[in-house]
Amino acid sequence: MRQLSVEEVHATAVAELGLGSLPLDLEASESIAAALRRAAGFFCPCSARTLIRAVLRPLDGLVSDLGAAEEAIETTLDALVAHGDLLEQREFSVEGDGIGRVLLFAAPPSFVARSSGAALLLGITRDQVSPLPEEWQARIEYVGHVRRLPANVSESLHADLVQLGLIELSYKAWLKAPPVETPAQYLARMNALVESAAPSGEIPGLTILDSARPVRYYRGRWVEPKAQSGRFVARRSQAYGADLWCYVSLHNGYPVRFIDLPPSGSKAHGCDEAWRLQLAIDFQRGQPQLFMLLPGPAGTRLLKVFSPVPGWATRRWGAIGESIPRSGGCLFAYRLPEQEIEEELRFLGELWLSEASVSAERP
Amino acid sequence: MNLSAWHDRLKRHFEDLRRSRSASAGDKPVFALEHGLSTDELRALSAEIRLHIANHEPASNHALPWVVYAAEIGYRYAGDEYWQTFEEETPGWLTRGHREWVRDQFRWFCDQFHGACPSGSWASHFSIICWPITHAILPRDLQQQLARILYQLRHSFSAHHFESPSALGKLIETRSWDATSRFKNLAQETALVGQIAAALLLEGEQGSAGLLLPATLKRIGDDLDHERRAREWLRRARHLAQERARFRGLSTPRPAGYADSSRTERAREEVAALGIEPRLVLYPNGPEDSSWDVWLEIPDLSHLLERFPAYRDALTSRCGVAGSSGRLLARGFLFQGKGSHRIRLGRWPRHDELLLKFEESLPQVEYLLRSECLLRPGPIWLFRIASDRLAYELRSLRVRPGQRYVLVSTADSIYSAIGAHRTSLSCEGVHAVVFDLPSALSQELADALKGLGLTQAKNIQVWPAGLAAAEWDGEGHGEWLSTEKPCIGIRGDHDLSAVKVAIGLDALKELDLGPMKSGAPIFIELPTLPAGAYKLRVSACEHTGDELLGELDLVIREPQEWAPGATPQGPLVFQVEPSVPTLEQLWEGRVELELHGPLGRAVVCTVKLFEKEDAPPIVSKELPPLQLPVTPSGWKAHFSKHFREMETFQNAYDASRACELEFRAEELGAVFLTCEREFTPLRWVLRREGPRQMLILVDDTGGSPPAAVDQFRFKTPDVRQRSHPDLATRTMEVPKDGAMFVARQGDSTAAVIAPPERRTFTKLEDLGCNPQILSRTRSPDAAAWIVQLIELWSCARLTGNLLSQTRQRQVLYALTRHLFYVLGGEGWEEAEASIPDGDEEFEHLKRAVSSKFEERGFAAKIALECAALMASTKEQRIQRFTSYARSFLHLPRASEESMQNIGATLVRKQVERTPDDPDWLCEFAIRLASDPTRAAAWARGATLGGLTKLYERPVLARAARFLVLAVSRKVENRVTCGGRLYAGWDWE
Repeated sequence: MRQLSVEEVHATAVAELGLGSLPLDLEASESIAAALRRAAGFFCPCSARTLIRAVLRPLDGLVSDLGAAEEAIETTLDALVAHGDLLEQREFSVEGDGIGRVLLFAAPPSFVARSSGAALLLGITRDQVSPLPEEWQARIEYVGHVRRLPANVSESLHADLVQLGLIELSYKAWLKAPPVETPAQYLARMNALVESAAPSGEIPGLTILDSARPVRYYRGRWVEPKAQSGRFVARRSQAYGADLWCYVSLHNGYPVRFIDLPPSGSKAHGCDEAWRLQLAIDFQRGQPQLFMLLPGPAGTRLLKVFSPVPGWATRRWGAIGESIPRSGGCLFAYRLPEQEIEEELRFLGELWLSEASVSAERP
Repeated sequence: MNLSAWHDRLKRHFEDLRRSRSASAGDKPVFALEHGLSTDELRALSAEIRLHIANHEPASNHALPWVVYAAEIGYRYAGDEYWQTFEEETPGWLTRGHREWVRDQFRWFCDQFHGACPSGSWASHFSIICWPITHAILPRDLQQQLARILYQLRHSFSAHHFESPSALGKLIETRSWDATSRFKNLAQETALVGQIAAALLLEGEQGSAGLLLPATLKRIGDDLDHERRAREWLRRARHLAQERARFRGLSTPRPAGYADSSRTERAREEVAALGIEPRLVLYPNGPEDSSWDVWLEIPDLSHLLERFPAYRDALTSRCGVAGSSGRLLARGFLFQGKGSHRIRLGRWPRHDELLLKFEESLPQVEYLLRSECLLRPGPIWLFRIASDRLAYELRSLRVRPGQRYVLVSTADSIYSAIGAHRTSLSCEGVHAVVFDLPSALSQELADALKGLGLTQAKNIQVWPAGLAAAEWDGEGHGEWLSTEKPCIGIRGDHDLSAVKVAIGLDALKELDLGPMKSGAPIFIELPTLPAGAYKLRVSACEHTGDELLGELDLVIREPQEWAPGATPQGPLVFQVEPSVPTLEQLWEGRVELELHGPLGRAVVCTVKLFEKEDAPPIVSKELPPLQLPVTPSGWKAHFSKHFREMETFQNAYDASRACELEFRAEELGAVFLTCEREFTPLRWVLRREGPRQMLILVDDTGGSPPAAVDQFRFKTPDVRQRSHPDLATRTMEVPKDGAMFVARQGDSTAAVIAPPERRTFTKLEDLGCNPQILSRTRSPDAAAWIVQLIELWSCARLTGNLLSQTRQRQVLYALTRHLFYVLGGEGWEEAEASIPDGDEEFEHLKRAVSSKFEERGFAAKIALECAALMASTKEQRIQRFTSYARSFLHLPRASEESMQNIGATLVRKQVERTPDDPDWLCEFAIRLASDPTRAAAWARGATLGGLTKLYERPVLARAARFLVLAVSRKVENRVTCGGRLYAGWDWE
């Protein structure tokens, strides 16, 4: 038994997370992601709040600003859900009495093979940093919430991972991208769904994403309804579990009708459907959400995005490039190979994002 | 080199090996696989054997080459056909060799070189092949399973296990409850398997070389290395084993006072140290903490099984959870080593009610569980509402200012003194209130809390620092892993001049922290601790002595291993019953398989059939997608429609030794199930040669003379005809219209129902069959013979062709009808044979139950209550039937003679139920009428007595049969019958 300084607590915890070889503390996004995965192994299925609590509480006395730490944990948790380490699903009961809360489940250990021979690692194992052999664990590259295992020339990584029992997800199945639509087509479809829903009356714990607010500050767009009219992406609370995503029609701030997201038949997560919907709304309003392309280190460009985008987009960029620390007011950033940029610009257009000028970047 | 020269060389080798083994490892035996020959040398030796046997009989002066040769084939054995491989690879053996000779050479080897001697029930059932297989040390198909089990057990290793490999073998045997039957056979030999496992685990360590020849060990290790997962399992298990073997004293710590406890008390203390106490958590199900669901989190219990192997059967039986819906969890569900399970409670368990109730109840198990598997004694339970809105049970009953709590109580009190307001629990038997504590407690409030039995937490706060604990109730109870060093934060709300922390009462585990400033956290790192329960005490050091400031309950548990498949943390839940189904059970629809997950998500099942170990599947078929949840009946119907009913797969099934099911649901995960053919010493294999069907009898019993074979035709299922397989090939041709073949050798019996040839069906009516029972004798003995025949026909193995099952059912129906002719008489037989179409009310049968005036009401009552009986459980039906029988047949009341009046208290004596007991007889009659295939097993030794009673009281037999047929007819209109003979009468 020994007494530890704050720095020593950081160091031992980071080492426990399997990140001991990296110059990180517990506030680094890689550490937060690893701490969330570890907590998920203990507590899933559970609400996002349970995981946030589990990671935040032990930082008491170790970080200067618990509020900022909480925000970073929330952001990383969203990224883990979008990436596929955690699965947002409705709870089910073996006894058939459907419970229906939306909870986070630990994804099984899986991988997505890349054409380079490397593998993106996904999923969570209880009580262990990873199901991989130790010598492989040391080779894992951590960038933010993303874990990538590069291939060695002498091995067949793909076959070995399958033999170890990891599930192989095809790139397409992992991306889960929906078919291409115009924003008008997509909005018309979703509007029709909400208008055919039954009248809702009061909706407890409703907050809306106010499209009239600036697209570059995502958190600032979330408000409680006051006098707004129109259709909004929204969240409504449930007794336990993450707030449910929904699409609501308001009249003078009062809910008229709503549908939960994702709509029936969609395989997307609620958050992905909601963010796609907001992209379409903003585009149709003539205030599209923004991205920025900046020069990067040799042969690369930096992509910065200022609002959340559906998981299939972040998964795609994580696969072809790598996540980098955010800066300049963006919500997340990726370093992409130069040769991929042309195709990615086309993809960004299909996401209904517009390019912001570099001069608009905050210091 | 000729065989004599090989023999001499091997003799020198094994003599040396025996000497060195004896010197280094005492009485550890030598195995034939430890021959020390290279691959080329083995090839040369095998060539010499083949050359010799092609022209000469095997000779005892060549014993050692033969022993090595036979063990090498055993090393490749995968549970299918040892002798077939042996004979195919050794041309001339069939005519010049005989199996007993091989056994004799192994016995000689055993005597000469202190060789391993197979023992246990498997050795007596497989009396010859047990020798080469034992001497193969670890046949290839079992290596992966051993690696997995060693990996699962790695945290349970202690130096003791490596000093006494039998103890290690015992540990392996206990953990093999979910392994294949072949592996279980291996594990029965605890001394041998312990020796093999210790050699594998300690390879390269000092003193380990004496356990197995290093070259042989390397060979097994190299074979294991071919499979990446097995290699990794063994590597991780080795790491811990070598550490534990080197350092003594790493076993589970014994709580204070352990040495003085009685044996049973020690066992209870060991259970307590496992930290398996279930935990209550309240989940909000309404706004503003207005209502809650009660969930019980049951930790994984696999360590309980490892500590108490003698109770394996009871612990791995199906299990119910007190207060839950009553649904039983599948066998071994809580012992998978994959984490805790959550069960919703609809009723608050009583204070003396065991939370876990195993189907195979044992008083010793119940006694053990009473220390950890009861709710904490009430009448109040305290829960703190955390920031994630869950309310976690605080076992300490300690409250802290500024927090919000739920108080659960058996009394419906308001608790206004603490400012509580009612909240609702979706759980019967208790009431709940919610209350907030202000940041400063008045004396009045503090007194009110005290009056309720709640204590106020001291002015010190402890919490897991850096990383989350595996469990934390927010106040003073946490769980960590034995592989980590728990880090704790401590903070006081006033200055203290000196503070110290200690683990338990151990002065060696104390740390002086010096002065503590108000509000400033101090962090301490605990050492890695072996699994067990501990107390961390924080004390202020004062002049007058130490003042305890606070305590933290620490539970240290071993980390759980990861294995592919569903986990409690993931989005798929997989349950299968039985836990290790055989291929036959899968094919015949006797596996209850359930897969739960997000509603409506698609799952794709791929079925693979394997004929040989290490060979690709002979069939791999992706079935159309299923939707979650997959229910047992849904799965059976899907498997049947898309796989079992296809002729190609039926043929492949007959040739298969194993089936692998793989359920994939994209990112939700995948689950796997492997079903191997039942491993029995006497079994039939069906082969097709064009339209002809050939049956081969595989006899591994080692008995002589050759097994006797009887044949029963479908049209005359009670007539036995002696058959004679070809002596050399043990093969016989199946008659065109099929038959049941029964082979007997010693205690072993193997029956198979071979269907008619497919080509014989030219008309639809050919598919039908009208079995006739030729005997017309009516007596209790005749009834007993029919019951025996029913058991024989029902236990017979089915072939892939579904006509096997159809014919089996037709025969079983005919035999059951005949049984009730024997018991109920000709009039009843005629009535059953001529139930008019559309006779929904069974008027015709009802009249046949009895013509006596006083007994007619019995059948009338059953008919009248039929709809209600249909909706009742079997137990309720039996109860009602018995009650009607008492009324109308004037049977004595249940077990009247067992009731004694002692003073003012009526005491029921435990008496064994017999055919004289009317309750027993009524249940027996219903079981016979609805599922005679299991009735004799239920009656144990009382079958003949019961049949005699029913023969003497035929109205009871007829009434039971009437009840079964009437209910079945009504139920049949709603559900398919599945594997049951009569719908609505499932006795499993």
